[in-house]
Formats: sequence, C-alpha cells, structure tokens
Amino acid sequence: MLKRITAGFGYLGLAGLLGQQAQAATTKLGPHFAPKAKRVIFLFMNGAPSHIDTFDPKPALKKHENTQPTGKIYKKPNTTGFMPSPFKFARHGQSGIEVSETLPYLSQVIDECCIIRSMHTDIPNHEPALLQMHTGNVQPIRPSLGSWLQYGLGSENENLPGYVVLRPTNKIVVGPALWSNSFLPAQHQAASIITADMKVDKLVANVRNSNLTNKEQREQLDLLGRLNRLHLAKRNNDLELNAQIKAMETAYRMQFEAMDSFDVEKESVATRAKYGHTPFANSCLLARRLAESGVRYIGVYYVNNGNQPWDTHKKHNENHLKLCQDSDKATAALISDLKERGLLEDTLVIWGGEFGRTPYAQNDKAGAGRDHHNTAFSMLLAGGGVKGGFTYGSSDEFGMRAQEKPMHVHDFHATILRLMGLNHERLTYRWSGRDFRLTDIHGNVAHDIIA
Amino acid sequence: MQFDYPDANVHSAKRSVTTTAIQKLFMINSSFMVEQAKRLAKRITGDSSATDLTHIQSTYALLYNRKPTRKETDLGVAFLRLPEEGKLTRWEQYSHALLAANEMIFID
Repeated sequence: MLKRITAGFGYLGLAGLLGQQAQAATTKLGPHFAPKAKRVIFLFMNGAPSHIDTFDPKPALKKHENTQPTGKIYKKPNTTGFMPSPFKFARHGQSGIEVSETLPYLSQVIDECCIIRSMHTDIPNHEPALLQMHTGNVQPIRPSLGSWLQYGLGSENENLPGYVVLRPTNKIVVGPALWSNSFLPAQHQAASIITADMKVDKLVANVRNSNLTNKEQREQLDLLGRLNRLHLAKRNNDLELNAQIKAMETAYRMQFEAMDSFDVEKESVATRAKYGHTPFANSCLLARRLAESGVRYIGVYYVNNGNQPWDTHKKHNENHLKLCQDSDKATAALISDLKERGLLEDTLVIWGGEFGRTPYAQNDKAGAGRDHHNTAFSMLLAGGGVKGGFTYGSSDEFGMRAQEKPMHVHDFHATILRLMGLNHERLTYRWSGRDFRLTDIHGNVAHDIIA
Repeated sequence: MQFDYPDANVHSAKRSVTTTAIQKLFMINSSFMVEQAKRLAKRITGDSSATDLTHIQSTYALLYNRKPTRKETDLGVAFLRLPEEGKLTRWEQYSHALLAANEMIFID
C-alpha cells in the first residue's frame, strides 16, 4: 500500500482496493534492454526426447554397457545397466558440433544452433516438469512463459492474438495450464488452435460471418462497443471488461487477417515439401507464417494419437528414430526458412522437452526403453540473438548429471527473457499480496550464449 | 477451442479467467448465437405492433432485468433505422449485439 501511495496512484478505501488494477493498467513495462529477439517459437517434444541419442554423445556408455548406474537416483531402476546409443554421432558444419545420425536435417543447420547440454529440472515426472518448463513452478496456477512475454512486451500485431498454441489433437498431458495467463490479465491467455484440419475456417472456428455484409457487421460491432463502454464506465474501467472489449475488436480484425496468416495453402509446393506433410510439419509451417505476421509467442506441441509420443519407455531405439524423422525435417526446414526470409535473427526457435531420458535401460519385454531423466538433458536454440554453432555446458561422462555450467529451467527462462529484452527480476506482477516472477527467486542469465 | 478445462491432476479452487479473440469469434459469428438472436428478436417483436422504443425496453427487461438509459435507447433506435443489406433483420442484429454484450456475460 505504501508503495502504491508513493508511486502516485491509488487511494485509500475503495480506490485503494482497486489499486492493483490501476497499477497494472498504468505501469510502463518492458523492454528493459534492447531486445535481441522479438518473438519465440517453442517446438515442444511432449514426453521428453533423449539427450544421449540426439545432441549429447556419450561413448563411455559403450565401454560401461550393462554396468549399473551409481550415485543418487530418484527411484530404484529396473535396469540391466547403461545402454549406449545405437546411433552414430558425427561432427557437422563449421562448428563441428556432434549430432546424432537420427537428425540429418538439423545437422545441416547446426551452425545456426546453440546446443545446451547441461539442462536440469527439479522433478522427473511429466506433469511437474511440464509445468516447470512452461511456468517456472512445478505446481499449476502460475502464468506461462508466453503470457509473461505478452504481459511484458505487448503485441506486435493488433489484428491477431499475440500468443498462439498449435497442436494436432486435444490429447496433451497437463493441457491448458501450460499456456495459462493464470493471474495475469485475462487477454494474456494463448489462443489454442487444433491443427488436424489445416483449412482456415477449421483452424479458426467461426472466422467467417456468413450473414452480414462487412458494413453491417462493422455497424453491429460499433453498437456493441458503445454499449460495452457505457457498461464499463459505470464499473471503474474494470480490466476484465476492458479485455473483453479488446478481444472483440481483435476478433473483428482477425476475420480478415487470419484468412491470410493461417492459410498454409498459400505456400509454394517446394516450401511445403521442405517441411514435409505431417501434422507437426504443418504446425511448423503455420508457426512461421504467424511469426511473420508478428505473433509474439507460438507454442507448437509434438503430440499425436498419444498424448506424449516422446515418452519412450518401450522400444526406445525404434520409436526415437521414427519421431526424429518427422521432427528433424520440419524443425530444420523452419530454421532455414526463417533464415532465408531474414526472420531468424529476431525469432528465437527452441526445440526440446520437459526433461531427458535415462542413459541406462528401462527393461521391458517389448524391447528396452529409457525412463524419465531430470538431472541432465539438452535443448536446442536457434536465432533470436543466440550464438550459432555453439555448445553450452556439459553433462558428466555418462549423461547422468549436468556438470559444467549447469542450466536450471529458471536460468533458461531468465535467459529467454533477457534475449527478449526483459530483466527477469523486474518483470513482476503483484497478486495475492506479493510480487510474482516467472523465475520466482531464482534464475541466472547465461550471457555466454548471447551473441 | 472456446473454453478451457481444468487439469484433473490437481485440485482447482476456481476456474481461471481467460479472454481470447477465438471466444469472441464464437460470439459474433457462430450459428448458435445467430439462432439465439433470431429467436430473441422474434420473441420481442413477434406479432406486436409496438414501437421500437417499447421493444428495446422489453429486451433490456428480459436480458438485463433493468430499464435502458436514454443513451442506450438512442443508440438502439438509431441502429434499428439503418438500412438492411444482408440476411438478418436489424432487429436480429440488435438482439445479437445485446446477447454478446459484456452485461450479458458478466454478473456484477
């Protein structure tokens, strides 16, 4: 309260109670620094891909094959011991970064990429790890990274939602809490789009008005806007009512802009072939169109008939290879397409999951799998002001634990915010009696990865 | 997706509030809303020969349980006098706007 009075807004009594709203509406937010990246495309591999079969080669596993892992392990494993990756690693690009043969396309653009090999997260279970990767907190009801970015930076395009989530099916572990605005103002929720059918009016339900002329609809929404503003004026300019009015205007303009931005049919045959024709590939291509149109944060989720396909507890080698074939091609196509269009320099592309997978086998009759692994995993970043052809940190010789320059999810978030021009310690929102941050009381920016 | 669902893995004391343009597209363009608007317009104006003013007052009483203000009545009357071009009557369009208004969605 004292802070509010000294800051010059808010009064005692009723207006004081409304002070939080007044503050949220008037405080000038970011950027705090000149941003390196203007937008983020987060390609999320639901279920968590294996680090030691993608970006973190561990030849020592071969030497110690079938040796039991030692040290603190979160649960007693049912394992015959260490299981080396059957996939060959080779150096690629001028940087000579070692990449698995399961990722032949990403290998070709590796000089654009920064590989973090020292990621770690608190809990080796999907729900808490998904929530931590998205909201910084292992329990739900906190705002997501995309919501924080929207809140801090606003929208680049008033005609489209600033935060869009794409996935081919509804099946996804945790669900909308991953892209929730939570207690941040209501307009910072993601617009969630199911990409099973790529026709614009299927992607964006009700995008067309089939009854009114444009002029009539404008007149109708002008009337509605006036009535809503009369209603708002009697209710202290309530933020939620105001968000409704803004959303209505965005919806009106979206009818026209979405017909173009969401239409992947406008892409050339060559471009579509480059991405591939899978549901994930379609989402990646749509993500590029939305990035081009100024959408701030686009989350693309790799789910299919399974709600977390990368969760390869059985027949890991076989399943991992299949998933990579699809994901690799589309991800690499997205990176090179953004590059060709001059968008990669200010678009941050992220590829990864909620954790890694165990360097030791998880035995199963159907064929060995790999279990959840939270103490070391890898993330790929490209563009958006990160160093290309660069690796950061390392895990130990078996890929068991982050060793050099460990990067916790909080550090990862702090670094993303820094790239977007935000100081993670200053991006706060007062709710329920205290200031909240994406990084809570944690987070160190990894300045080394910033170009 | 119009409306979210809570995560069944944790307790949820209340539904979190979201406001997205996608939800608004449903309000302004969906066949469901258009159908409700048509029915409302028919119910209000039906076989009555009363004036627009009286009909506006009936609509406010039915939807919002109050009388319209002078300003609201003027806006309504002016809108209803505009020429019709598309497939819906101005009364249907007017009913639709009132159904999609914040006063309809929010309880004070």
